[in-house]
Amino acid sequence: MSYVPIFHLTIPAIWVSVLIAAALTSFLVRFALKEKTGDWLWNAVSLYILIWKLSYIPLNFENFLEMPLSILYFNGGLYGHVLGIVLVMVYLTLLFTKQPKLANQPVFAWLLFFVSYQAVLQIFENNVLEAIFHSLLLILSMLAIRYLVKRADVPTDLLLAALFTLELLIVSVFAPLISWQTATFVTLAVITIYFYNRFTQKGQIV
Amino acid sequence: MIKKVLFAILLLAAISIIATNFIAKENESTQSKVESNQSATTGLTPGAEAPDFTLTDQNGETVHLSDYRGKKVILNFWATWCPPCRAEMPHMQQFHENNPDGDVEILAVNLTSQDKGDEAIRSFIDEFGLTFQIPMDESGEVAQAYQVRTVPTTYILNTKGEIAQKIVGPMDEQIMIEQTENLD
Repeated sequence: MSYVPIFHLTIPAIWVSVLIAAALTSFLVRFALKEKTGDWLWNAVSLYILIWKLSYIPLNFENFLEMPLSILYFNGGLYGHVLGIVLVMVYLTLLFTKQPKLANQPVFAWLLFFVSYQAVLQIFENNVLEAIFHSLLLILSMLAIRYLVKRADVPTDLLLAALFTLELLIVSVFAPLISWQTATFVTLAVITIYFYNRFTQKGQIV
Repeated sequence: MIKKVLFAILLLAAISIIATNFIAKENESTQSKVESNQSATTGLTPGAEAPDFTLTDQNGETVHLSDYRGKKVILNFWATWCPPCRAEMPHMQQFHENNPDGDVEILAVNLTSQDKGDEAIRSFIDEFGLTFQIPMDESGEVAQAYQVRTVPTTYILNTKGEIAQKIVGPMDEQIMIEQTENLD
């Protein structure tokens, strides 16, 4: 695990990468889909960060009571992460049931987010070769989404599954396959593709 | 046509994932042998041997860093007046208590020369019920040798006494677990 020095603190590189990737994603989605990214993206990111950070309080209640300032330095760790992801999924599900059209973006946004997160993280970790692979896949994904999604002869779920699997391949070449990161990636990929398919079949996404 | 291409990509990638994971496991043992042959020089960069020191701890016992070879060491630098150090202490105590086998040793060096006196340090140790070793850096030489500019600063050392990671800022128990569990 790498750390990035910011002022007098060292921040784990993964969290800096998450923020940079989230910021990048809204631009990448705009390029790939030729449409503006909805508010849902920043709502989801903020919700996740809030839950992840604040879950430190119930998980370390005694420490928090003794030193309320510790919330500045710590977070909910793995449990906070899982809780954050679950609540983001609940938020998106509620949102899609109200506005099915929005389910179009997350499935592409999630892929672009994760691939750019990996590219940024590997730059921080000094894994140049891996960063190059992720960057190439990121470019390929953007072009594939931009030029193939609207074509009738291209099944979008198959295209996405292929891109998600390629990303998984790059990850597994350089690091152990079984990790919380991979588990999160795969779970969200499956769920977003499921939503996308469901709404497409219902004709709610054009 | 494009459907077949996409399906082929998907299938090939999936097979490659399975293949790479098998091959990766076989290579692991040879890789670690190569790494262990490298000799370390003293310094503060990752892979370098951590500078040795001799200090006296809170119980009057002498602490030589080099005596901890064969154990992973969390070498922490702290002071009583530093709020993030206060925040970190319960986590460090918790980690220490949950590590009864003692394969990870905590050495929490107090910056005594910059602290508010013996009494303040004693009551801090009592307040948090700290049971790990707290070497007192009375001359400030050790903090200088380790270039400690902000506290807390922590060096994670492997069993060979080499620096694996430097962390500036407080750590929680999970970070300590993550930093030490995959260490040689």
